[in-house]
Amino acid sequence: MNLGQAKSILIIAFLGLNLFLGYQLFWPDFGRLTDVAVTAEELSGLEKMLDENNYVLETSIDRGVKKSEFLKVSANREVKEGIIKNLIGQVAEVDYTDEIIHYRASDLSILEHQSGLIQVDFNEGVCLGENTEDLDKSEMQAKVEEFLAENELKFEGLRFDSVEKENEDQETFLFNQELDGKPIFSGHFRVKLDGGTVNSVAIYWLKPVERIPEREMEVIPATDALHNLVNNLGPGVEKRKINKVELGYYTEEYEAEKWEIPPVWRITLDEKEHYYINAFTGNLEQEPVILEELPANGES
Amino acid sequence: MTETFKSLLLLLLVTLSLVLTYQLWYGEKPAELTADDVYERVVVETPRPMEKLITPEQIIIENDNNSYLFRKNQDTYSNLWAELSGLLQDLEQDDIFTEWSIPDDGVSNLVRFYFDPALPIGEDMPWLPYTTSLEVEEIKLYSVETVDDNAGEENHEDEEENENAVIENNNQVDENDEVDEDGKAAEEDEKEVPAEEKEWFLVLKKSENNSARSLAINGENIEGIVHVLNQVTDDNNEVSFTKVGSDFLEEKIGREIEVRSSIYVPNDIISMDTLEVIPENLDRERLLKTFFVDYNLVRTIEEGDGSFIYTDGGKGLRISETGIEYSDPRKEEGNSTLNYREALRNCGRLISYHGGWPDNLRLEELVFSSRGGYSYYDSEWLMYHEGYPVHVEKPTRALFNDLGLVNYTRSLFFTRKTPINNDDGEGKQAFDDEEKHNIADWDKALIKAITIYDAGYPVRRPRLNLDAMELGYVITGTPDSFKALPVWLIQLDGEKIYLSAENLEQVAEEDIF
Repeated sequence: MNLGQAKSILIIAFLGLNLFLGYQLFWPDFGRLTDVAVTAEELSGLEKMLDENNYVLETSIDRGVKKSEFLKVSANREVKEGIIKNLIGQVAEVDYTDEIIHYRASDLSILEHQSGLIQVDFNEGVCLGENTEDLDKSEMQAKVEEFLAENELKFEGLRFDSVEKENEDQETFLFNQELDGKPIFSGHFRVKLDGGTVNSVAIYWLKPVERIPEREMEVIPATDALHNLVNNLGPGVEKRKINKVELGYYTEEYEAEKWEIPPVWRITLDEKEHYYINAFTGNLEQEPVILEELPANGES
Repeated sequence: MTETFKSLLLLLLVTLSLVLTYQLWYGEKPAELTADDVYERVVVETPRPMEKLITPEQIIIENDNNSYLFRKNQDTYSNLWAELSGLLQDLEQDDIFTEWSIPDDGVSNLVRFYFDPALPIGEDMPWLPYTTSLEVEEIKLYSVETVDDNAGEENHEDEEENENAVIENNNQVDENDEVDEDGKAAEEDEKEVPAEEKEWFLVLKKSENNSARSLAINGENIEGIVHVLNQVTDDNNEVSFTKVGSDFLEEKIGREIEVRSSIYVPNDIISMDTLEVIPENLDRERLLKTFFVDYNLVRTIEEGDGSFIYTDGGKGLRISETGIEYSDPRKEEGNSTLNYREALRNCGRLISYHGGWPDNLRLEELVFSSRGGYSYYDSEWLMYHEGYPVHVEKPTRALFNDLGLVNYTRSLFFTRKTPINNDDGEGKQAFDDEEKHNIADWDKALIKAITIYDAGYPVRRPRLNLDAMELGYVITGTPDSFKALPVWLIQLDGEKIYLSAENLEQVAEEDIF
């Protein structure tokens, strides 16, 4: 190999490297060249803080500046009609209580909660096939998705999220809702399986009413969200793993007409606990904070 | 030539890769992209000065064995309080002959001012700022006719002599009452003597430890109050009241009752109107800005009943057609180190800031409380219509500590008599008399309340505590047609019972807005 050939190879290699670096910096928007939310010092400071508090970061942090806006949603009550039609048909025995409507058929029952949460319980369960215990996670996921598609429950925007294993046989496949590439963590399907048999499906589906672009703001960096979470939770007794830090939307289930939901950083700990940090305020999201009753006067 | 070009290109690519790597790793936001927090200026009501924060709970004028009761939103009440407040603010040390303690009993009172919350006097306060601090719960004004021009001065030289003069004079008035059956002679005698020729005394009392401070006041300073008092005693239409005590009630009702506050009941028939009601018009945008520093971070929840909840994930504000509810749970874990006077100023600031303090709204309560190891101040306000409190389901109330406002509810209704459209020709507003009702007797109301109270317990209690018995209004109806219904409010052992003042039917708490 002569010097000319070596130069050519190096030119190609550096061209490739520069393309890669350019892609990292400029895509998807060109503002990223100068608009980095997390510096190297901040990242190493975060890792040090996590280590001191017995946490370990096992995922990468998105260091770019992100913008987001509130999303106005309502409970999607229209999906209920489709679910009843597909799973029960026309005839159903119906019981009403104050907060729940109970639809009964011979092989299943459907509970409709006032908040819009729908729970389908299969009396005998629905078997997803033979020898499912031999299937790995992705194969099992495909089986569950197939089951949802067969029952016309595979809604547009349904996105696989995770599997929660309760014991050797029982596991829950969790799907959530996606809008324009961003997950809405509260819109979900929880498919409960026991030894390859679907026992129940809980569905809480949201209807995006509108985006509010005039309130688009820069969100806090993921490092700040992690700082706030550790401040809220305190030091871990045992080493805790931070598996995933993801930006999306989150809301509690409200019995309301419609409501705005904020962008959140969802932080997954030890592959089972999810915490939602408001990506505008940095607060740990919790129930709305209106008290039903104030303490009696002079209560001690 | 080709090799040179390759070398230059390679050099360029290496340099570019170094620059891009540096940018990717150490890239900082340029200063112009770092936006400062922008706090919007919010125009709110100016907090009331201290002299407007506290007003009397009730004012009792005593004349010729009759008592007259006045409360918030009555002209006599406003005039008397304005005169007394002005007097306590304007009095110089030289205007007071002396200051000493005298016995509480055996003196003839002209007017009593009851304060709940207490009136703070002394240092840094507008009232009697040169005296030592005291939280006053009752102020009594009484007079003594001077025997001669020098009697007053002589009296002030000797405390005991003065006390004797008071008691002697009081006895003299009583004798006059007995001699003249209709009592007018004594009244006329009072009026004949000009104010400046009497000795005037103010007794400022704190009931908790029964400590009192007595001030002898120059007659010239008291003329304004005397003028208002004469207007009341000259008015024959004014309904008189009687103060009820435990023995009196036991005799009247036949039940052992401990009276826990100063309760006055009417001697004559009183008429009250069912009133039209308009809920307070809340400026939603402004309220939001007062509760949330950066309201861009606040999200909205629209409820089915037309209410809105605003929250930033930490604190929440609910605005409905009839009021607001606010809560900041993170501040619950705090304590209050404020003293009573600072707390008074603070609660005034809070209500002015969060919606304002309308004229007919009175601060009813300011107490220091504790719960679960944390402490806070609890303040409560009520609207008044011509002397009667207007009760609502959730009164206007603020809980606060050193961290700030913890809870706040606000539900205000503006009341007015039902007007008749036809013009009386004189340009005066006429009112619908069909909305006027004679109220039921107080003793029947009390018996009914005791019956309701007893029904709630398996065993009849031998002795009851009567905490309150007063006339007022409650807001009932629907959002389309609110009305203020006249009621008797009777509080037994802490339990509030509302009875329609017209027919003594119980008004259930769930029917009150």
